[in-house]
Amino acid sequence: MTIKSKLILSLIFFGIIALVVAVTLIVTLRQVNELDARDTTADKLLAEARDLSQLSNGYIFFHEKRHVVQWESKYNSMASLLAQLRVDQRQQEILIDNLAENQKLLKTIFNDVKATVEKSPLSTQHGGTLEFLQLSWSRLSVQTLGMILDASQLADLIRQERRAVEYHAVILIIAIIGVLIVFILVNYLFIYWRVLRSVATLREGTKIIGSGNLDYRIEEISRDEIGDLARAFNQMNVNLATVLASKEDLDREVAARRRTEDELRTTLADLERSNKELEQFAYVASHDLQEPLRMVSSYTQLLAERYENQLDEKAKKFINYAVDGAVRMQQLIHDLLVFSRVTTRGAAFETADSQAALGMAVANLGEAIHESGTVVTNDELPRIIADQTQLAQVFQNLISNAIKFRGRGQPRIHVSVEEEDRHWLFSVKDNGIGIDSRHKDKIFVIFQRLHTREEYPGTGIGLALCQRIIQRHGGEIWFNSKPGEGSSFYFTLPKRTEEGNGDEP
Amino acid sequence: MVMSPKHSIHLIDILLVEDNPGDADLAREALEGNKMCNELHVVVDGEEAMAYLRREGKYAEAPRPDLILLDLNLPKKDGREVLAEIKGDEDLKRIPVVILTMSRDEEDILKSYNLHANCFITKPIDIGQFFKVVKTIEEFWLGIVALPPNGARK
Repeated sequence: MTIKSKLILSLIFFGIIALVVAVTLIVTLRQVNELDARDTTADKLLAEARDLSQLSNGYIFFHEKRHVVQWESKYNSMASLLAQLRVDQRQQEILIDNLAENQKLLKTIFNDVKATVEKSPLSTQHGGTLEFLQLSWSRLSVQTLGMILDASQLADLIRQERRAVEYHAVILIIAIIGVLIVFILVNYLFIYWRVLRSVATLREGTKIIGSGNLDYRIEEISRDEIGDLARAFNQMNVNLATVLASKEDLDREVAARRRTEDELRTTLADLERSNKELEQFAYVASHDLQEPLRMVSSYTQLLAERYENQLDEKAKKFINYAVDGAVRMQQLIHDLLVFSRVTTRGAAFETADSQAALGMAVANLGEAIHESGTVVTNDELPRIIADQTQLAQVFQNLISNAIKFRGRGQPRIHVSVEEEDRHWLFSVKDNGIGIDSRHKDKIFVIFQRLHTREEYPGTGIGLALCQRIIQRHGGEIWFNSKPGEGSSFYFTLPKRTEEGNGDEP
Repeated sequence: MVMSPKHSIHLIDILLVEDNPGDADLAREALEGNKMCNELHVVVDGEEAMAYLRREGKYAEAPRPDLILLDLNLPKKDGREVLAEIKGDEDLKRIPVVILTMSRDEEDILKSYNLHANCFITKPIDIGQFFKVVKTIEEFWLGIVALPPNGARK
């Protein structure tokens, strides 16, 4: 049972007790009032009984008419008092009945006396009459005396009854109050003891939980509010343990991520170092590899020059092969360097004018364009976010290829662009010899060639370089072609914002 | 090196800093048979070059060169450091320095000019071209360009 319902029950109990006390008091007061009234009536009865006795005597002795009138008045008032009086004790009822009986008897005797007196006035009374009157007087005296005794006894009884009622009421009230006091004391002590004990258990429990022992459960102390509090504490403990457990999971997760991050950082550092090493390698290649090549080519040439007269045609041809090999080797090394520098030496992605990039490419190829009679046309090209120099390199390589692999007619090259959702789609179309689609994978591989050097010179770096530049920009490059019908090279450049500069692949 | 006696004809001194004897010989070949009288002094690394220019040790009597041909990749002290030291030296900075190297790397070119190289030339791989270039260098710097008198102080 909860403390709240206990308190409510106590209150109801107090209310009932108070009601009982009030009702008892009211009932008692009414009883006492009633008994007071009866007491007064009883006293009156006694007085009237005495008056009747005196009036009877007076009439017998003096025969005065007024005694008769007074006697009858008294008699009537006494009769009406007797009729009014209501009692609840058998003994009192008997007394009242006796009084009523005796009154009637008294009246019969008094009426006989009255008749006798009226027949023979005082002066004419003889011996017989006197005797009768004497006898009547005795009878009246006895009768009234009995009535007086009865009335006085009735009054006594009523008074006794009143006192008893008063006494019982007082006893009852004292008893009720006593019970009340005992109940309050017991109730108070019980609640006090239970609450204090529960609170003490609770305090101990919270102290243990507070010290970090989340597995601790407070014992079931009671089924009241403090018990609820204890259960809430236990639930809180369970929840707290769950929260702590998920926090531990989270901590583990964070630690794992931190480890991954560290590994990433290490990998990044490794990558940067290997990039630097690659750069160093490229530099070494450009200088130190070329030096011996130069020696080979220079001294074979010097040999051919200085000993021209002593060498036959075959020897000169061999020397030419040696020199040609060295020159090509040097070109390959140079191309490899250019290829490796796409990522290591690329500029930041900034606003670039693709029109200007195309212009640069066309200007660099001026001689080849002029000699081959090539016509280069283009759509209006947009400003984009890119490395403009590298974009120019792409245009230059694609146009240069288109010129190199031209068909029989006048070479025509058209550069166009389409804006799409996420990128710009550039295309370079020519009317050259075209490419067999079988070679679509080979064509972008570095130093991969589809023709002999005798047919078309070059190391085979151009398209590999284009692909590397486009990939650095996050785009793609591909082509559509049929042999004899020209080729179309397409490449995409993602739309970027200036802030996106850092996200190089 | 043979010390050249003071001539009535002005003898031109060229300092070639080159670690590859093959290259040094090619340069010598290119300069021989040239109309101008010249003396080619060859040192094989950057430290030697600085010792020569500052006339330290065995170079105490070395003549001040009229032109320096400097390779960039050198043992011990590399060409860029030598260039920086020459151009940072009040006395030596007036001697024209021609960078003659295998490199055609833009960064090398930029760096060299930033260090006040007088010109940057990539060695041509063709021997005929190379001879032509060396002769052009000599003619341009020692025949066409007006330079302060050798040994002049500020």
